[in-house]
Amino acid sequence: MKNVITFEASAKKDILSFFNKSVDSEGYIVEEKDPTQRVLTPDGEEVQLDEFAGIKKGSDIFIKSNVFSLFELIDKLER
Amino acid sequence: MNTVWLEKIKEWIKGASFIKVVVNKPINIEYAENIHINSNNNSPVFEYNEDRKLISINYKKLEPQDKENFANIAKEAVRRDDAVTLEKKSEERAEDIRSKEGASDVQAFLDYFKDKISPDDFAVLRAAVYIRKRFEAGADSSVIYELKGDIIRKYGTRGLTINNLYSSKYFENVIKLLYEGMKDSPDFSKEEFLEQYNAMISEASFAVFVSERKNAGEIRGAIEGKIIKILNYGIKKPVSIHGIGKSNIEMIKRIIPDIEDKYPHIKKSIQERAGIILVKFWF
Repeated sequence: MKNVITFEASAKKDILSFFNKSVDSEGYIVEEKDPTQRVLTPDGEEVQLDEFAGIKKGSDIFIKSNVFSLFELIDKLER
Repeated sequence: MNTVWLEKIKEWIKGASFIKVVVNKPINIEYAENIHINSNNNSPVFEYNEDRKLISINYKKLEPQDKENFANIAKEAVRRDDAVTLEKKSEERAEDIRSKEGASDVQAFLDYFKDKISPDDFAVLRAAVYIRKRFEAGADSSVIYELKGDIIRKYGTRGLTINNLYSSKYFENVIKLLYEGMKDSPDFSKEEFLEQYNAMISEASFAVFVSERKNAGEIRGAIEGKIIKILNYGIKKPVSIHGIGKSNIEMIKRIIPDIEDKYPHIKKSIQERAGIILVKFWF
């Protein structure tokens, strides 16, 4: 895919650190500066590290690894 | 394609400390198109695969200053330059979805239903199409299970019903025919189609879809099977029988008296118009 920086699962936490995010004790992605604030997808869903698939442009739009999140990504990239 | 970020990464690589220490032969990354990040103990800090035009960076092995510079460039790539960071596994799946949806038969099928059903139902249908394609390609059952899990987590029972109806070819053989049968009627409206469609989805567990491939005995058996289930478990739902086309309608009309004879207390309603029949039985 064009315009995509891919990463291995082993680099998930590093990628999150680029965007000043970390992971709380329950495995959810949170703001580094305010760990009580869990990040949300555009659908308002919290994101666990396990299901974190990436970040795209916008105010850090989180992508999950489920098929519906990937449909949205494909549609946006093709627009 | 916005390649500003890619050029920035290439520039950074040329000046990064590892390039002098680890890479001891001249490399030409001018034609690189892809960036991959890993973070493990095994991969080298930097690798370039000329055939795949792929630069791989092991973030874990970067010097602190290189880490900071690279993190800033990658962050800017997403926030300013339109790039996407995506886990390799998801990138591969997105590519696979795109490739399978690119097939002309899939495209025609999805285009047909896109504006006819709700966006949520369409998303499930799209997932169902992908699941069937993966199944046909011999995907491991864990992949199918994972994809069906995505449907259930997001769209619950309705999502699963749509997937099951699609996998039983009801969308091609029944729902499409339903739409085609209704659309030529002078007072046709999309709402009317959706009413019938929604009834099919919500009553699918207790519905019998009559087709010419089934004989009267098989259809009677299918209806009775649903009736017995309703009676055994005290379910407060009707058994619905859907038929499209003259011969299917006639077949259903021939079967109705048999069911009424066998279950004298059964109630029924019949809706018939524009070559479509919907019969409901309940107690």
